[in-house]
Order: sequence, then structure tokens, then C-alpha cells
Amino acid sequence: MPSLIAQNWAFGIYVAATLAIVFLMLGLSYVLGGRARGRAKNDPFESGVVSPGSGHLRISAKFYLVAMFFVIFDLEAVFLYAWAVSIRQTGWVGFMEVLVFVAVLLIGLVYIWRLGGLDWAPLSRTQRSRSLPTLYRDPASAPQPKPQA
Amino acid sequence: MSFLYVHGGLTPAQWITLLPILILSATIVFVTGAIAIKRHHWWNATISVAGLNLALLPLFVHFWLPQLWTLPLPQTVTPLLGIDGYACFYMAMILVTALATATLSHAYMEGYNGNREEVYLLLLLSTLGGLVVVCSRHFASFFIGLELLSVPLYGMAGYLVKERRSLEAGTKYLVLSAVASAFILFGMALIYSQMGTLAFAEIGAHIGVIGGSERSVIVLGSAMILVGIGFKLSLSPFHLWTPDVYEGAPAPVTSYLATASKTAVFALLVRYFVEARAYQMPSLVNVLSALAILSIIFGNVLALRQDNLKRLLAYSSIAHFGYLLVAVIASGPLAVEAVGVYLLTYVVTTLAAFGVVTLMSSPYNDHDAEDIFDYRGLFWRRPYLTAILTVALLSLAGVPLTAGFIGKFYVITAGADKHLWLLLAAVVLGSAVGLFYYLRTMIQLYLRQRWVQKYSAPLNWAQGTGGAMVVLLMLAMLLLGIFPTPFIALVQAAGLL
Repeated sequence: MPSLIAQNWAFGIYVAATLAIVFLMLGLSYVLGGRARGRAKNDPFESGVVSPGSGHLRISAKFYLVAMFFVIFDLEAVFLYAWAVSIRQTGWVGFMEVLVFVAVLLIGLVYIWRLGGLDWAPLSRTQRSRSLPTLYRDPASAPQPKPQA
Repeated sequence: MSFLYVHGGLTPAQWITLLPILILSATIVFVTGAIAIKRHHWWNATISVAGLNLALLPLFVHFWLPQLWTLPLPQTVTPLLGIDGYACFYMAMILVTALATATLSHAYMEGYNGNREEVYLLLLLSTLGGLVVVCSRHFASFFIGLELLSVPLYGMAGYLVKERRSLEAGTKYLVLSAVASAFILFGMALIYSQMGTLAFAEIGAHIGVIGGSERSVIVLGSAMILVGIGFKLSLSPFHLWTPDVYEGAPAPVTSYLATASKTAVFALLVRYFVEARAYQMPSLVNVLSALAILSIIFGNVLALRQDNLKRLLAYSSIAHFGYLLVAVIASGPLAVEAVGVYLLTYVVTTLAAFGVVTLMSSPYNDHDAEDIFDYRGLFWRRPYLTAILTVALLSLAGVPLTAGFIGKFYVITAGADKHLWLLLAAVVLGSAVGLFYYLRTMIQLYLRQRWVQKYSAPLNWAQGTGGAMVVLLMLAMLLLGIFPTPFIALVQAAGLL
């Protein structure tokens, strides 16, 4: 135990000194500094400009969708790199495998495209025809199907 | 994945044994395309059901018409998947369960206003995961299969997005399932750190010669995997999610959650115990015994005062998996057989019970018909459905001449064979307690209230496939109870490797 102290006392003093300086600086400015109160003085504000409005912006959920599609397809692309580095070793079997993989991805892409996942403008602007399938149908606003007895 | 290509791909025999998995995968892609072309509930449901039937066909011929054609079993398809009789049996069971769920979903989703088609897509994906899980002989395929099995289930549990409880069920299942997966992964990592291999058989080959601190790390890893599996099987004390998720999820999804997903995980647990020789770790077997006793006690006691049929069935499933664990602990060939028979009877019974709940409910009736009060005097309105539910409840209670009795008989035989008297006492006591709440529910079905009119509500046969399926399940339950020999022969033929 004494040897432990002997080895580490310098570090201990360093930590203590750092803490002391921090408290000294903060404490002195607290004691000596002036205080001003005002309507917006306690708000967090940037570059001296009081921010107008609220920070709670409503971002269209489409952005979320776009981000998700990006992550999905980006991740899938990573698997192609794994194939690319072993293209000679895997040969035709590997090629067929990747072909199936890409085909499945393509079907997935067709799926989200047909369902309007790639229409990034709000619905009212694109005027999707009613016959197309939709990605999300609000159960509350959808027409009622014929009731079941 | 270089092992795939070194030998120039798979042999024809391997392709043939992979048929169920391949057909199901193709169906998933096909259904995705079909939804993209046109949203049509009936068409998409039919394509899914047709795909499931096609995937089932080779297994059906293999088991029921072996003189015609059999699968070239066993096959080891890459180190990841081993397809043997055992795997085929459970694959068939999961596919049949998925079929039942698909027909029930069709009846249920007819009344839903949102997008109905994706539920089949999720169901097929989850089924594919189940198939991979029961075939897996390697931690990698085990984990991939398990995730494929449970991730679509989050979506299915929360499918009625506008309903608070459904969404809550989905979120709860997501969080707890993710935690369970994390436990399993960490356990795998610990085992790999000592063994240097992820294949069950290689772990089993080396586990006997390892001692000292390495062994304790392996025991710790196995325990963590057991915790994860306990979550998935909702064994007590990892059962807390079960009643909430069962209650909130749409009724057909609950039936799938209670049967297919648990069957797959349990089949894997047995395979892991046998192939990786986990029996050689007595501490693990002791933990398993404790889990079994706790599950039996908690499942049965918590179900006693339930007034909600879905929650009651959830607690009863906790107890049933406690009984099943007794068979696993007994170990040996009889145990594998007992697990097979018990799971078969359990799946048939549970599907029938949830099938009736599904046919009674419809989304946007505020909630599913799940309060036992909804079922009061049901006999005077829907005698057929009541008869089916009665048989299901009797079977869950394990009354003779129903399927549940055969299952329980097997479990007790397996336990008595290995002199597990403490566990058997728990099984017997648990069954006795269980009888109370099953019969209590049954009495409600036949109560004749003054205001209840004596008429048979027109069984809407637009729900016809669902109705026919439930009737078939009831017949299967009775057949299993009265004449179980062919089914037992089936299970015996489907032994582990």
C-alpha cells in the first residue's frame, strides 16, 4: 500500500490541483462577476440573437422513410463488396448467388416504389391515382368494408 | 462462406432436402411482388397459403406416403444446417401452424380497414425463420433463424397500429426480445472464446475434456443462452412480457406466437442439449429444473384469478412449457419422443383455443373478444364454437381422451423413467391447480343467463376456412387423444440424427 502511494502521489496532486483551479476560476467569477437579469437573459441563445419561435419543428415523416430506405439499401450494397473481393474464388456459384440476392432486392425496390415509398412530396402534390396500392392506409379514414355478421 | 463453393455448390440431394426452405423463400418474394402489383386481400392470402402448402408437400409425402418417395435424409447442408428426420418433423409442424395462422388471419383481417396484406408477408418471413431454427446445428444459423423468427413478430404483434394495446404489445415484445437476443449473443461469444467453434457437434465433442476455469466460462455462456431462450419460451422468471403481449397482439398473431415460435425455439433447445451435450453440465440441468418448477407454479397460480381468456392462455402456456422442460431434463431418447408428442398436442390444442378466440373477435371492435364475460352463455349462441373451445380447454387441462392427456402422460413417463420425483410432484400439483381454472372458464360457456337468447348465431362462412380449420383441429385433438398410435409412430420416426 505505501508503495502504491509512493508511485501515484504525483498523479493525485495533479488531479487535486486541476480540480482546485477549476473551482477557483468558477468560484471567483461567481463571487466577483456582475449579474444582470432580463427577459431573455436566462434562455439559451445563439450568437447573441434571441431565437424566434419554438425548436419543436414538425418534420415530415417522409424523411424518416427516406433515411430507412437508404440504410437498408446501403447495407445490402455492403454485401456486394464481400462478393467483389472473392469474385474469382466463388466463381459461377457465387455469381448465381449474387444474382438471386440482387433480384430479391429489386423486387423489394419495386415493392416500395409501387407503394409510393419513393414519392417524397406530400400526397396532395402528386395526386396518386386511387388504384395504386399504398404504403400506409389510415384505418380510421379508409372506407368501411362491408360489415361482417 | 467459402465452404459453399470449394466443392462447387450443393449436391442435388441437398437441394431436394432444402426444398421446404427454398419454396418458402420463393413464396415470400412472390407475395412481395403480388402486393406491389395489386393490393387484394384474398389473392395475397391465397398465394401465401399456396406457398406454405407447396413447402409442406415434400414433408407430407416424406412422412405420410413414404412408399411413394422420401427425402434423402439426413443431409448436412453446409456446416450451418442439418436436415434430419427431427428437423423435418418440426418443419412440418411449423408449416402447418403457419397455415392455420394464415387462415385465421384471413378471417380476422377481413374486418380490418388498414393494409391487410403485409401480415401474410410477415407471417411467411417468421415461418422461414422457424424452419431455419429447427434445422440449425451451428450458433450462426441458430441466431440468424431466431432473429428471422422474432423480428417479423414485432410487426405482427403491433399490426393494428391505431390500437394502443396492440402497439404496446409490439413495442414490449421488441424490447424484451432484443434483450434476450443480446443475452444469447453474449453467451455464444463466451462459449466460442473457450471452444473456438460454433458448431453444436464440435462443442459436444470437446465439452467432456475441458475442465477448470474454461469450463466455468462455458457454463456461464450456456446459462446466458438459457436466459435468452427462457425469454423466448416465456419460462418463469422471464415470463413477464407474456400476458401483456398475448393480450395486446391480434388474436391470430397470438396463436402463432404461442405455437410456432415457441415450438421452433424448444426444438432447438432439445437439439442443443443433445448435440452439444449440455447434459454434462449438472449445474445447467439444476437451473433448468428450477426454471421448470417456477414456471409450473407461477403459470398455474397466476392463471387462477384471470378474467381474460388471452391472459389465461398466456399463463397456461407458461405452465405448459414448465411441463415440457421436465421431459427435457429427463433426457434420453424417450425424452425427445416425449417432447415431440407433447409439442404436437400442445400446438393443436392451443391453435384450436386461439382459433375460437379469433373467430369470436374482429379488429376495431375496440378489443378482441377476450374477457371471459364475452363467452358467458356462448353455448346458447354458438354451440359449435363452444364445443371446440370446450375440447380445447379439456385438452389443455390434460383430461383423458383428449390430446393433452397423451402429452402429459408422456412427460410423466419420461420423468418417472429417470426418477425425477420432485419435478413430477410439481407437474401433478400444477395439473391439479390448472384443472380449476380451465373448468371455471368452461362453466362460464354454459351459463344460461336470463337475457341470453337461445339461438345459434349464423356462423358466417365467409370466415369459412377459419371455421373449417378449427373443426379439423378439434378432430385432431380427439384423434390424438383416442388413437395416438400413428402420431407417436411419426414422432418416433423423427428421432434426432
